[in-house]
Amino acid sequence: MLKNRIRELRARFQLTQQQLASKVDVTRQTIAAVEKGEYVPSLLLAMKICREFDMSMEEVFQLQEESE
Amino acid sequence: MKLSVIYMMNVTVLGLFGWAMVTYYDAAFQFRNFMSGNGDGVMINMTPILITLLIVSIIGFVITRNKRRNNKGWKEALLLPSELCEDDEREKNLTAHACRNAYIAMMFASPLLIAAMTLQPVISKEFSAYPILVLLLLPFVQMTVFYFSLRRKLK
Repeated sequence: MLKNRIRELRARFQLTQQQLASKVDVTRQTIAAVEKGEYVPSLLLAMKICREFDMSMEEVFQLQEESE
Repeated sequence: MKLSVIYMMNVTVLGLFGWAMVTYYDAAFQFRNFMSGNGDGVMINMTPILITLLIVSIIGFVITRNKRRNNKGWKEALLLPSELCEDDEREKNLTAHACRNAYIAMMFASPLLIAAMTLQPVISKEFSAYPILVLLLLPFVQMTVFYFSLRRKLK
């Protein structure tokens, strides 16, 4: 499962879901689905999100084993 | 536009189109009888055709205007079904999943409906437009499976 810190980072950078969605060129619903872990973003979208927060991929997304 | 509204519009258009085609089918029967010297002429009931044209025009106008307001090009606004309008990769993913389910449903529905067509000689005496009804079930099954699989994913 792919965990992420987007919600936390959004709060730190004071961005709404809509603002982040506009910056990375997706819909607000997609950001909400990624935050909830319902949708695994493509590599391109993940990299765009990381670029917005000026962080590396590992800092934003973490691979979590199913058993954990 | 809401997915359920698009689905209801599609079903309405399909139903109205079927109704109009039943009228044409009856007229074709009358024409056949007329050509073989058994009929007085051909009478077409224009009501279903006119109602279909009116409602399809209204629905088409509403959908096209809605898509143009969402910054879609004319080609997409006029030719692409509303349920296939995708704004990002997640929506493309959802559409792909729903299309897959619709394809699988057609694999099962097609042979069943072809088998249903074999009843045509028996049923056509009571209901002459039976083949039209069977053919209309194909797109109905397709759009229904597409709608429900998309709705389930969006919940």
